Amino acid sequence: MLKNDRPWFHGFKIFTFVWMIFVIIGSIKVAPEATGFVSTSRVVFFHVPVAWVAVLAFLVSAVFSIRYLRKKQMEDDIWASSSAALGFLFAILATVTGSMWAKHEWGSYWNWDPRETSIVILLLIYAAYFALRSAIDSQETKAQLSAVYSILAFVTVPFLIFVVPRVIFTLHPQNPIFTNEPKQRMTPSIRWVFFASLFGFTLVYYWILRLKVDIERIKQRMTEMEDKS
Amino acid sequence: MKQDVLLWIFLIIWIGVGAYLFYLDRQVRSLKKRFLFHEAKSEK
Repeated sequence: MLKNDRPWFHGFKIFTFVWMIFVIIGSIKVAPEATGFVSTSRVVFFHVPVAWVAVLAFLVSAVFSIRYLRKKQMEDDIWASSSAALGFLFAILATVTGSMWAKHEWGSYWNWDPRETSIVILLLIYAAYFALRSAIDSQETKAQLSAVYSILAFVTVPFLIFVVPRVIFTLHPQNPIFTNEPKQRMTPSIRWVFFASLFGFTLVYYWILRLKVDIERIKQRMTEMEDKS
Repeated sequence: MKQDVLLWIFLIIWIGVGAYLFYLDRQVRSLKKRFLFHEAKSEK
């Protein structure tokens, strides 16, 4: 029942912890400062991975919502809602870290830049998801309606995260991985630390997701047990 | 001031994520104990 009781999960926790220690050391000691920034470019090792995890979490939520609608198993609803909650949390972290970076590079914490505006809209869309869940008592109705909402909410994610900031003029730095501009391209050491950080944060996301799913499973089993007795 | 940016962002993310992981881990343990207790009680 408790998946983190499995031996591999303990190994996974240790591996993730050690990996992230290396990422932290790499981001401070190995990766040099990128040209054009004054001691703020290293933010990319933390800000971008949390934003990536937010998008991944919303995608996972939508996938499990589709599964729920097809199979009608509460287990899928648990995965979908837990992942959406994590997506929301990581989106807030991306907003806060981006805002701090903006203060130092652009002069103010908030500029209503397309990227800032689109993440606020995304946060509002997913805040409504939790409002919807908390407003319904019946477990089945809650799971069904929120599954439909989660799928519809995810449709807006690619548009708000990838399309809007590329169509409208933005101050936000453009993708430094696939750019054709040699000056803006990441150096190999920066790229290594960046991808290591992306991978590490994905592991952290999975770690938290498993814990959240376990909590919901136990709560559900306890409710079932109480109902029987 | 700019030199502090990385440190601040680093602290916000790691203290936040670390504290949340710790909280969830404790919650799983305490819920598991309660669940096993209830299960044993209902079996009796």
